[in-house]
Formats: sequence, structure tokens, C-alpha cells
Amino acid sequence: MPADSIGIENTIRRLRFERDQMTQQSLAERVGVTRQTIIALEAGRYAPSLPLAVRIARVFGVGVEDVFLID
Amino acid sequence: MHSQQKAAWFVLIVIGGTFALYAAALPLFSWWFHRTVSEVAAPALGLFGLLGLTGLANLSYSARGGRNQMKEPVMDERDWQLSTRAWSAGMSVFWLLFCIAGIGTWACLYYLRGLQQVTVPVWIFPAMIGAGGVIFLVTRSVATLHFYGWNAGDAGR
Repeated sequence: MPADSIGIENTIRRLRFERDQMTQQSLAERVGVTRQTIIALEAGRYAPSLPLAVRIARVFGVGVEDVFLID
Repeated sequence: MHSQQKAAWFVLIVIGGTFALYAAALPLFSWWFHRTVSEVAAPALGLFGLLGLTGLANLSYSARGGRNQMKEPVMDERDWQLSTRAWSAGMSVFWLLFCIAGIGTWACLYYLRGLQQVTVPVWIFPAMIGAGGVIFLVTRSVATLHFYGWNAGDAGR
């Protein structure tokens, strides 16, 4: 489901750069998805499931609400 | 390009190539066997057996290749979601056209032509299955490529 259809934005790209320029590939491997999915997430073309959102937030050491924002 | 995209392109190429091969074979067979095009049209339908090659599309899902591919899942949650949506699109179009063909044919024959009974050639039955399968595969493949974005811009698996 496109993230923009339900007004969800994310700060994944900024958080990656703040974590020693973490690559999309590295983040994908850590959360167990493909790099395509990370690209789609950052572009707002995909809204993750709750477990995936939690895994992403844990990688960055922040809360889910700090990664995903609802308009 | 994801495995699903590769599989979708492969299916479309096989189906398109089969139809193109059939169209090219008609004049060739007509010349080779010294028959008219209409006489070789039915036997040439055997070329559609090549559609069985679409089953090889599943080979694109094998986890071979470089280092990055070994660390990524073959299908993650987004891929499964897009697969489900593509399947739904394929089955929806198939069912719609199947109902139109069935009900539409009945309506035309019964109400417009006033026929109570008709004689149906037996080749209609495998043709319906084959046509339905092609419609489903084409729709699912096009839907898959549409959902992924039609390009390999998401370079990777």
C-alpha cells in the first residue's frame, strides 16, 4: 500500500546518514528485507508492517514514532 | 530488478513470442506443406505448446548469484503483498472475461438469434482453458511490472 495514500512519512534516509552513512543494503540486511523495499520505503511508495517498522526503529535505536510520522 | 519482475518479463516474452511465432509460421507452413493458410491454421496451433515454457519463470526465484543476494530474502513482505495484488488482478480479469464470454454468448444466441440449442465443437473446451490461462498470466505479469514501477531503477535483487 503506498505510504502517501495514508499520509505516512519517514525519516529513514536521514537516520541512515546520521548512523555513519549506513547504506540501504546494510539496513535491508539488518531488518530482513530487500534493498528494493528500503528504497520504496524511503520514497514513500510503501508502508511497512508493524513488525518491520519496529525492527527498523530498533536498528536506529529510536522509537517507531521517531521514524514514521503520520500527517 | 526483483525476481518477480524478471519472471513477469519472461512470461510476457514467452507469450508474445509464441503468438508472434504462430503468426509467422502460418505462411511458412502454408508454403512448406503446399496448403492454404486456413488449412494449416489448426495444426499450427501446436506451437502454443511453447507456452509451457512459462513454467520456467520460477527459476528466477532461485537464490543464486552474488554476495548481496545471499543476505536478502527471496521474497520479503512487500514482495508478497505485490504478488498477492498481481494474482488478484489476474484472477479478476480472467473471471470478468470468462463471465462475459459465457453469459454474453448465451445472451446473443438466445435473445438475438432465438436459438434454444447449438452444437459446440469440442476444441472450444481446451481453447477456453488455454485462453483463460494466457489472460491470467498476461494480466498478472503486467500488474506485477506496474506495481514494481516498470523499470529496474530499484537496482538489486
